[in-house]
Amino acid sequence: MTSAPASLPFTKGHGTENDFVLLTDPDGELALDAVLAARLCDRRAGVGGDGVIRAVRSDALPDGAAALAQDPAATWFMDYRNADGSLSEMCGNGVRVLVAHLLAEGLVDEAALRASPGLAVGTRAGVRHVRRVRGPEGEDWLAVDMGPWHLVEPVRAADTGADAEVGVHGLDGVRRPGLSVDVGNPHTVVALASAAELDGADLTRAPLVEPLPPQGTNVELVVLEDALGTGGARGAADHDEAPFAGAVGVIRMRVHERGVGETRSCGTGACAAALAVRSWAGGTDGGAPERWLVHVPGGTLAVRVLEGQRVELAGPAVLLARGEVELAALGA
Amino acid sequence: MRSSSPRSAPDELRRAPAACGGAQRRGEHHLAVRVHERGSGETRSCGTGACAVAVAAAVADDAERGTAYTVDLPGGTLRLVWTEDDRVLMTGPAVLVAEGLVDLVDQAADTPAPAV
Repeated sequence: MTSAPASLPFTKGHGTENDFVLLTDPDGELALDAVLAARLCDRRAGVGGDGVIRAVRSDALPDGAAALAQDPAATWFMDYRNADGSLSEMCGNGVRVLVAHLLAEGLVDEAALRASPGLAVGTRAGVRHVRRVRGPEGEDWLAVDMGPWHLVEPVRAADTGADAEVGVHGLDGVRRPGLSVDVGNPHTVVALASAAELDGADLTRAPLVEPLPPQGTNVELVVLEDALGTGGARGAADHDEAPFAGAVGVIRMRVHERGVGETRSCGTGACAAALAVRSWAGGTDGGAPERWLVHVPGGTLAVRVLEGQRVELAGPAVLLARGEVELAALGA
Repeated sequence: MRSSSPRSAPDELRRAPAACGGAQRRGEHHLAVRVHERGSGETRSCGTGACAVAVAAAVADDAERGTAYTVDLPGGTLRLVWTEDDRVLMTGPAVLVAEGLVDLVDQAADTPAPAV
């Protein structure tokens, strides 16, 4: 205990209300274990968050070596732990908030965000590239290449638009068709008929998915606001430097995260929801939009389908407070 | 998760605190409590609730005034004394976890969440 610090500087941030405790530890000197992470995330006895993100140089920890091997530009690594203390590979909202934090600390340069392919950040899921983009109202947003995605049952998706049945509590008891989308983790997307149905769903209990994938699944309930992108062009979450041209679909979503319950936002869930709706709208061949705005309880995200079966997530990253946490008070 | 209100009537609470939905005997003058706060749902602790439990237990035990009760709540332990002059003294920890500054500008600039 003699050399341990009495307090730990932190920043609190969120991306569409997916909230994080951010720690800066360039040389990997901080022992961020599961217990400390869980105590920091405790909303009553700690700082509170959906997870802890430690900004650490990739060359300062073993997991970072793989990131540097993949891309030597990935100087910084996202050491992410969930609120229960468990390690996580990636978090689309989290990596944007991490980059906002690195910028605020002067540890990375804005120019790297504006150059192609963006700022390389190491994660346990591989290197991710983050770019500066404009939100629908001209806000400073960040976009991250979320990597490859696929429909789990593409033939059934094309034939019937569904590969599962989902029972959602709080609705009429009728099971609804669901479509399985893999965005590095499993999702099942269910279309509802109206905003009233979306509001009425009871997500304090997990939806019943049949067949349930072996590792479980995250469930997204979606309502189409504009599937064809004819009315959503305003602002339109311009992900490129080039002026926006093209249709933007709009959906509204609530999510039940596997093992967590309902959350205010879920980056991979927003991607899965947009990709499912795009599939229902006919996919690329059917002229469905490649860009989608996804309204979640915590705000608005933008999803863009990229070349090469990849998907990009864009949205706000807000840093709202910084301070010092007393480690003795945490019991750490 | 318990989301519905306990159905114990106040009379039952007065008569048998050890048996009511939220309180359990742990030993002499020692109880464990979970609490459902009106308008809030379950909370980790509730000072007035702990007072109520201690007084109810003291009545049920026919305990002398001034007897100290220990009440374990999910968030920690409180000590309670129902005094001769009909007041309740509560003793318990008060922890300051962190201190910092919140950025009012960024808070205000954040896009308001659409009603979903």
